[in-house]
Amino acid sequence: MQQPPNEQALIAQAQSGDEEAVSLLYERHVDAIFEYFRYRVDSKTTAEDLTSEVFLRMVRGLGSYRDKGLPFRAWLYRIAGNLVIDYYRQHKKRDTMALPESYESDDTDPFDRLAIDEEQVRLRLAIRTLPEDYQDLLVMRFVQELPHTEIAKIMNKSAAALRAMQHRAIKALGEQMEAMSRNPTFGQGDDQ
Amino acid sequence: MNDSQLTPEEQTLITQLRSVRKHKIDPAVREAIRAQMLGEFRAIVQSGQLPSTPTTGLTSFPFYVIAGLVAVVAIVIIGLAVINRPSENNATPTTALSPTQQVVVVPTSTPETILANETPTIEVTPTIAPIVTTELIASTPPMIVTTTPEPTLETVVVVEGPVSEIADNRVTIYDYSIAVEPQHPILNLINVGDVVRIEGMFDSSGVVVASVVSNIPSTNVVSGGEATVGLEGPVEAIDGNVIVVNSIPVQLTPDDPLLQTLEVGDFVSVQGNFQGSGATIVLVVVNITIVNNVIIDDNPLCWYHDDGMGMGHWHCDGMGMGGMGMGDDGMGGMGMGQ
Repeated sequence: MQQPPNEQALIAQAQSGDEEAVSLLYERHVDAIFEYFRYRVDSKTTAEDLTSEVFLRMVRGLGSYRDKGLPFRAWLYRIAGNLVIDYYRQHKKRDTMALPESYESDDTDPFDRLAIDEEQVRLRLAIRTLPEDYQDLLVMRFVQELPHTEIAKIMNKSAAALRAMQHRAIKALGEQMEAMSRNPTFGQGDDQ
Repeated sequence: MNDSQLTPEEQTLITQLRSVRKHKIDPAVREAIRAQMLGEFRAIVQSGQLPSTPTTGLTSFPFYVIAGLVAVVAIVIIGLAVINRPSENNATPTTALSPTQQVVVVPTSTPETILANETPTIEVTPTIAPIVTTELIASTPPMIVTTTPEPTLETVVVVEGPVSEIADNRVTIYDYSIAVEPQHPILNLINVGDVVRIEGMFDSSGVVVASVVSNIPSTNVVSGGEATVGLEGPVEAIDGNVIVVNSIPVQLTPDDPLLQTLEVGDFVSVQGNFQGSGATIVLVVVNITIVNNVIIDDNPLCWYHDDGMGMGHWHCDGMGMGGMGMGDDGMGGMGMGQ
């Protein structure tokens, strides 16, 4: 069985105009980027739009992309993080307490909907009430299981700062979950 | 920090996070995005914006063709610059600049209320000095600045505001793209969203090239002074007269009295200049002050939380130096810190 090409080779091919290489890079990362946005923005549709924008920016930036010893996805996450900031800058009214539209209606597959248990929804909502940095860190570290050093680079933090932040983020999430369990109506508000 | 240092509730949370159902993008949407992306890619390839394959393409490409292309592009740019010159009756600030003149770009409102189509105020404060022929044309961001190259021109541009994007060595503030030296350690410190102050000068292509970068908006590290970089953060390590702040080695003079009292964990504000290059770069201190030196139970992992409006408070976690560590393999779960 043929080994998939390594990422550096793919990037070089893409930079030389190889469409297939671009497509393979997209295929490798699209789900992770989409998943990231699903935690960071309200709706599935927005997550799809932002995912699309990430990859448009990827192809626009390929010409100037330089390998700095980091995985390619670190660059994509940085683009994604910038887009989230831009998104919330443009959509200032942000009701993080509300149940996202996506959890009510976007998952049209009935089996999907059954699969989302209440605890997971609460967890996602709780994450979205946290500061931006905490959200990024928790999603990248524990949901997407990115290496610690890679997250530190993506977030421009030192290893020590990231460790401290991770501790605080977990604590904050725990407190938020506890607050939500004390108030059952938390997270059931109108959305958007 | 390892698992045993987490509460059972925190461990449960991490387990929950790891077990959440993963979303995959809808197949139809996936293909639609791919098609759009590839369409864009084709357009880019056709326009020649991608770098050609290294070595093979360039070595066989006749140099005179490149030179010819460069000449054509230069002529087009000059032509466009002439066409875009402001007319007499528009409101574009046009002034003669002196070699010491500063152009200050500051937001007209708080960063949170800046809209994409707002035009930052441009203050031009001329001083009496020999006149050079330079024109500044302000428009909605991105700002277009055309200059008539003048060897003695030292127009200083100061931009303060939140960083909206960092791509390679380009920092974007209010849609102004500013080039920072690629190896500048400040690039490892500033994040999107940070409010920074950048001073720089226009290069011959009209791009602002930073000469002073500070992540402390209230710190005066203005050009003409002695310091070009400002840092704030907890002291992570002390080795002789070199301390580490935000992973950057900071070099004090060996007889600096502060060294007698400074401890790991102290939160310091540093102004200085980078010296050296590559891995040996250090920030040589011009001024350093301890903002607060709260240390609880010898715990160095205290941090200052800025609540805005000049208010803030300290946090300290009950963590040892091992901290909350993760294996760098990414899958190792909770392991020891570095």
